[in-house]
Parts: sequence; C-alpha cells; structure tokens
Amino acid sequence: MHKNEQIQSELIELNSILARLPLINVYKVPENYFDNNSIVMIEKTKNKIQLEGDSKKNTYNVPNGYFDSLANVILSKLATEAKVMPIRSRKTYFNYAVAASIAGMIGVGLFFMTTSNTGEKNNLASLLEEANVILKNGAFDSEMEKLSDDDIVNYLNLNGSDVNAALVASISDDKKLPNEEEYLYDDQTLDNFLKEINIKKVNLIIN
Amino acid sequence: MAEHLDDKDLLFQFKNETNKEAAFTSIIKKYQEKLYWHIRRLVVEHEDANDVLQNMFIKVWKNLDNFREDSQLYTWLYRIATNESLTFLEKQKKRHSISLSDDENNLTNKIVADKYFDPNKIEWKLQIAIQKLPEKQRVVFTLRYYDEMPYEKMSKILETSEGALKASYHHAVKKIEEFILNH
Repeated sequence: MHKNEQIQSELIELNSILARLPLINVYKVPENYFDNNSIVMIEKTKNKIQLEGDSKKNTYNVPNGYFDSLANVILSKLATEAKVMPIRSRKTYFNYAVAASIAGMIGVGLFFMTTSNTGEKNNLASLLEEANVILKNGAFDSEMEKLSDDDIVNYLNLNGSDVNAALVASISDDKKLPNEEEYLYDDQTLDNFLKEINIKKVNLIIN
Repeated sequence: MAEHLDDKDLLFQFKNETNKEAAFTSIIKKYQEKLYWHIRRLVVEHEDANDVLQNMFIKVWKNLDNFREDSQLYTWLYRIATNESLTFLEKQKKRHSISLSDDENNLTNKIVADKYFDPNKIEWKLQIAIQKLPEKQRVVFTLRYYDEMPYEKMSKILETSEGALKASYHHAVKKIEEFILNH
C-alpha cells in the first residue's frame, strides 16, 4: 500500500510518527473472498431480499382486479352518498321543520286570534292548545315520531316550505340564534332552543 | 454487463427491469472491496464486516430506485456503509449491555484475538489506538488515513463541515501517536 501524497504531507505537517509508518493492512480476508465471494454475496443478498419478501407475503387473497377497480368503486360510492342525506340528518331536519311549524303556528295564531272570525279563532285556539300540551309535556319527540314523512311534507307544502324563514321570523325578536358551532357539536341544540322559545311564546299567549 | 460502465450508466441500467440485476452485480463488484475495508476497520472482525456489507447492499437494492443523482453513488454507498457499521456496533453494545469503555475493550479484544495479531508490531498498536478513539474520530481517521478520502467528499458522507473534519482528524492523529509512544 502506498500513501497518498496529500495524506503524507499532512502527517508530516502534523509532525506525526504516522508519517514514518508504512501503510500496512493488518487484517486478512479469506482467500479469494473478493473474487469468489462477490458472486456468493450477490446470491446471499438476493436470497435475503427473497426471504424478507417471503416473510412479508400475505397469505390472504383478494379477487382478481380488486385493487384495480377499488378506487372507482369508492369514488362512485362517495358520489351516491353525497346525494342521499343520512337518516339521522333527515330526521333532524324534520324535527326542526315541525318545531318551526309549531312556532310559526303560534306566531300566526296570535295574529288570527285578534283579526279572524270566531270559527277560525276556535280552530287555531285548539291547535295552539294542542301544541302547548305537547311542549309542556316534553312529548315533542314522541309526537313527531307519529308523523309520517309524507304528513310533514304535505304540511310544509300547504303552509310554506321556507322553514328557516319561519323559524327565524318566529324567534328573531326574542332571542339571537345559537352559534353555528353549537349546532355542529350537539344536534339537540336547536330542539332545546325551539322548545324554550315556544314555551315563552305559549306563555305569552296564555297569559 | 461491462464493469467499466460509470456510475451514471449503471444507475440508468438499474432502472431498466431487464438489466436491473446485472447492473446491481456490477455495482457490488465495483465497490465491494473499498466498502468492505471501510467496514472492517470499524467493526474489526471479518464475519461482522461480511454481515454488515451484505446488509448494506440489501439496503442499496431496496433504495437505489429512489437514489437522487444529485449526489455521487460512491458518496451514498460510503454513507450507508458508515451508518450500517455504527448501527451494528451500537446494537452489539446494547445486546451485551456494555458501557462505552467496555465497548472499546471489546473491539480491542477482537483485535487481540485475531490470529495474526502481534503485540510488538507497530501496525497492530495502531489498530488498537484507532479503536480507542471516539466514534466520530475513528470514522474520520480511517476514511482519511486508509481510504485517502478528500475532506470535501468526507464532508458529504458525514454531513460535517470540512473544518470540523480536519480538526477531528488532527485530534485523532495526536491521540494515536500518544498511544503508540506509550505502549
């Protein structure tokens, strides 16, 4: 082994005894290690890779082409899901709709009670009374369960389907709407809020 | 495959599925000796060096497709070899639950156990002195003294500034000299 000139001059500069030492490799390797062993090593490397691959091999099978079509299947499911409102959301929507209708009826009731004829007054009065009982008994959910989707849709068609407008109209003078975050974290927020508002209004009517 | 192909050509061939294995064989043949000796000087025993060399080539096979050609293959291989050697020593240390000083003794014991070991020969004293060095200085010294590597390349392998590497090498040379003179 010969020392590289640059390395040697650096050692001389450092005034090291290493500069006077010959470069000797004391370690030995088995004979022909690099000649023959390169092929052996390549084989061993390949075997190790193969073994590692085998140990990670999955013993389960999937249908042919499963992974090829999976992305499309998921995407089409996502597209379908986006069109169908979940049952819980739908129910909650109707819950709000009925509550808003009741609130609207109460609000409108006040107007009719003071302006309409006696027959209409009696009908509205009985409706208001019924709503009042429902709200007082906390039977809102059970009463709502009795209604079919068609009943609610028909009601909204007959009485105006702008539920949000009716809802806001019925409460905006009394109280501010709950924060958006509250709706998101607790789907009872609006139910509770409407009950509170309606009870206040019914109390106003009764008193 | 012709082994005179430069690294760029070898990498190009490796990316072609048909030539992949032949290109990899050429890379092993081209670098195995240099890398083996670099590893051997760090781990001392042939069997350990052989294991580390094989493991490092397995890693090379697995990662060569992702190798960014903005650094040299040679630099990258040395970095893997160094890391694999140090990881191997670290694992050994943990396995035997030995302290740092015991680790030095462990490597010294391995040198002494070599069938060609001769305590009177300065070249063997040099090997013991190298094993007494802190890890980083040991790597820097062997890369500079035996592999005759320019600081610039070493800097890329060890991701350390050239100035720090020079300082490290000079410290190592002084410590080695001190050891040899006192033993």
